[in-house]
Amino acid sequence: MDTTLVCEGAVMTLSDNISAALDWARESDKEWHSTGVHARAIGNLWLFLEPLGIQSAIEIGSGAVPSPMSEMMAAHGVAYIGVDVLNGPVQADMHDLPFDDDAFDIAVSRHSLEHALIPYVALREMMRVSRRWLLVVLPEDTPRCPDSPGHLYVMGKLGWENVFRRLGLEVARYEIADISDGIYQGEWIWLLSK
Amino acid sequence: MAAQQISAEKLAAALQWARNLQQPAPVSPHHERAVAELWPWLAPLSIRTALEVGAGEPPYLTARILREHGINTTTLDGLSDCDVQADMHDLPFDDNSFDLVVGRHCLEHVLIPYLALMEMQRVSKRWLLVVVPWLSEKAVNWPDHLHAYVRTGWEQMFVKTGLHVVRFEEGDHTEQYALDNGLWADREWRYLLEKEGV
Repeated sequence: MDTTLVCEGAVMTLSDNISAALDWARESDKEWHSTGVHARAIGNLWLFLEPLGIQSAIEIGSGAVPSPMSEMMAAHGVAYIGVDVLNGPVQADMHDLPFDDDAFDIAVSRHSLEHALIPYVALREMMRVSRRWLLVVLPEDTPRCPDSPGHLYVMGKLGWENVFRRLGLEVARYEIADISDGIYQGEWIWLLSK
Repeated sequence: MAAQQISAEKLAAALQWARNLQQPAPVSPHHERAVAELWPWLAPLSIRTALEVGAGEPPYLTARILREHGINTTTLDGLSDCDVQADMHDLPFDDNSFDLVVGRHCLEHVLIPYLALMEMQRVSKRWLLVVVPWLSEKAVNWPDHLHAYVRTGWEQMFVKTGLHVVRFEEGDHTEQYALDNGLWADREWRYLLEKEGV
């Protein structure tokens, strides 16, 4: 990428530093391994999805597939595609999804937006490829959350909801779930509507 | 890992979207009071050159105080009429160009705070002074604040970009009328940061 942007009179050359930052963000991430606790939490997400009558879903930051998420979707007859820059069935960056506008009924991100260099851009892409719904799951800001090397963003609940609102997303449903594995850890679950 | 590029057009659209949200911020007396409290942090550091990013418009705030103390200060902003008009994601300076780089109430306005912070870190020889709003309903709802984090969120961002916190303080820039009548509080988190390995 070597593009000069002219915005409001300020010239910005997006050549080396943005690519370097994206590479840096990807390097700081490790391959994610699902645990039994996460598998149960993912199974429970169907309670959010069941009333929506969805037939197709895309997950960004899916990791390798099959996964608890792909199996949960398959069990309920939802056509599922996973995208992950490291090891997904579709290898792509969540800042630039290789799909048409409105290609899916829902775009799902579970524990992945906090790994993106630019969550605003990743969310804009999720909004673009989804006809209506987004399901966003993020770790609660407990003390262990910032220690994870791949967690670039620890905003707090208010901070994430600010991002959703700025993008024009409405919270249709919210819950906090317990994903403790001996040490307390919660996750925030938002069902969002465009 | 092989570099994977993302669409420059999508990035440009997002940057433009974030810029369009931004509004000019006039110099105000309550911010002047807050800035004056920062000079004692900087006085012992033997600073001769400084850059203020997101400096706003003349007569400036932090830059004015630095200049009053004889520090050769460059002001930079994306929107206004500064010494250098540039975007915080791409600072037009060599590595280690300034003794100090200041960003006061600006990181919460940019699309990619990591990139802005990396750039500030790159052009500074040693010191950074970063001030961000605390996390309140008012700060979150402010029209052009793209980012509102808990303290640990900012602090882990510093660590991950190769900085450590030398000094922290929660300060106040509430306007006098609100302060006198207990209406609301505008507080801010002030960080003096040092580059790792200097």
